[in-house]
Amino acid sequence: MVTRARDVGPFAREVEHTADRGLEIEAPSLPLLFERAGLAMLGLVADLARVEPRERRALRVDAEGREELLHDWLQALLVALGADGFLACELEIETMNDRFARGTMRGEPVDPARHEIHTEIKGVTYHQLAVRQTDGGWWARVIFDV
Amino acid sequence: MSEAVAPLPLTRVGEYVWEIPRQGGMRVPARVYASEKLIEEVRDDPALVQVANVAHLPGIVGHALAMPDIHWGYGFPIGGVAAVDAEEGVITPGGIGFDVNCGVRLVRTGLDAAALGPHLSRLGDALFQTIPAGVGSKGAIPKLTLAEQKQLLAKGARWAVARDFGRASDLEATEERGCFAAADPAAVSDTALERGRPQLGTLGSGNHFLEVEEVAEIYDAKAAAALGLHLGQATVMIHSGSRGLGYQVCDDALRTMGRAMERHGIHVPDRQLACVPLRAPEGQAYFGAMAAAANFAWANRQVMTGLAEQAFSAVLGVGPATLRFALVYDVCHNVAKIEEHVVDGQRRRLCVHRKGATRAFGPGHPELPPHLRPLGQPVIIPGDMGRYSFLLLGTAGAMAETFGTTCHGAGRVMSRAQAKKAGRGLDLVRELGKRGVTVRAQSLAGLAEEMPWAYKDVADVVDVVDGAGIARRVARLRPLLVVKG
Repeated sequence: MVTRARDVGPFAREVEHTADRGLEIEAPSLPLLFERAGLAMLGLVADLARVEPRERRALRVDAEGREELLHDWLQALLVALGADGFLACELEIETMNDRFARGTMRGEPVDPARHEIHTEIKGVTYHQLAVRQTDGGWWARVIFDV
Repeated sequence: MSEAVAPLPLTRVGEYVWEIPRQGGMRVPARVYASEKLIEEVRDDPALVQVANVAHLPGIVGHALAMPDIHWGYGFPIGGVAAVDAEEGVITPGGIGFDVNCGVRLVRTGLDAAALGPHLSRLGDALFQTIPAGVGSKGAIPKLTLAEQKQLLAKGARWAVARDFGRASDLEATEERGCFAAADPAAVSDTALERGRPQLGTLGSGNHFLEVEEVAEIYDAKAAAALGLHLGQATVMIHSGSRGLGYQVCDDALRTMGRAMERHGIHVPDRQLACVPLRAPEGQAYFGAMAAAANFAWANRQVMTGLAEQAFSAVLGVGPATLRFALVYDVCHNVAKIEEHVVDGQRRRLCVHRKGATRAFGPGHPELPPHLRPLGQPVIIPGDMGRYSFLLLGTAGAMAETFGTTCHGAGRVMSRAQAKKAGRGLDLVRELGKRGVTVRAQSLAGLAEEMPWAYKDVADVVDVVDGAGIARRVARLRPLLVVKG
């Protein structure tokens, strides 16, 4: 199921970090956790309400565990933004396990005249990176270098 | 967010020096340079745990160090320094950061700051338009071909000077003369190359900036004169780094090293401190890629210097002979370098990691160009955008105590989220205007995160490094115009 930027709000919370930015995200399922984490991160970069889902692009990441997979998933979104200027506002994971995720993103090229840009994220850090199963589903924490 | 921080024993061992004794897996003690006021600000902060974590790195010598602008980072604290034996020790991208060769340069001009007043608004517009800033911005010069980009990665600032951005004398006033000879463009991934290709000549966002400043106070008239500076003079300061190319070089290495550590039998307390022996193939590949990213950053700052000169020329209607742009110095504050230092009476070859810390070589150091050798290395310390920045010089004290290192900036006291809350309802552009600072920014939210009150008073930080003898004050610079991503 597609997750849209506007659906993320209550499920992602910004956490205090002196120099950088951090997020805690929760979701009933792992795919939804990854979708919400991706959109919450891009929501730090720009106001996604102004981004239109005009183009669709495929995403695939492989990693050695859940935390590395979340890191690489978020990093793939940053690479699309940094190398191609592509800003996603909708994410959908089609299939995933603990070491692999495949999905799509919809969005459009960044247009500084039309999009409200907040900040640039330099990287997804491994510092305090966590993905945990909870009673109600899944929880993750990520700290970004900005 | 609160991290579980075990209280660490902290002993005062000098007027400005505090020590965390060796314990657990620490291979050396840790030392923090701070005043009583500054140490109180970080006493319960994860930053102290992070400097103790740095002391776990295999091959570290002397002490794991933190400068007085220390604050909580990821892996290393910001303001962290680790000198590691170049033969037996490790290299860690976490000790350098995502923004390889993030650094600052100070350009002097032939202009009086007071005479710029009526032009600041137009100058701000011109600089903002000429030097693209952050997300989605394309370089001010056409996207490079792959071949051009690889040449740039090998040549650094020389690549930019050869294309008429700045002048050859700027290279003499740049660390490593703007080119890390160890650069290995072949070690830079295709993804990193793609991320960097459209970004040459872009400033970036966050705490990156271009400022027009006035020399507001001089502490050492002889040194200031030798550096071509006088009271009331207009200068330009640029703070930027290696953009997406450097970020990706760091990410690529963290992944590779995270996997390789087990094979090398290395365990560290924070995954962000992933490291491998410098002499291992992964260590050598990262060092070559990091050096190439450092060259990208030097070329980037050199290109922006040329672009700034063009903007000044267009607005003021004068040429280079009147503008007289000349680089005072360019420092990196996120980098690892191979240097020789004396440790326990023995000269040793070390890999010195500085993350949010600045090299501060003292007078007579052979790495310094002839015109700077009698003075010591200029060190540029940006403060917040509402107050002031400082120009310092490196000292013999820094060589003896801190592997030729000093602070890099003010250091944050407020998180970005706190700063945004504190700035809510505040017209920051107007507030800064009242202080005589004109601002051009891509993002008002980003501007709020960088509000002056979010930072320590950089004068407190500079007092410590001057008092501790690991740098000395030359001049204070007051911002007139701030351009931010």
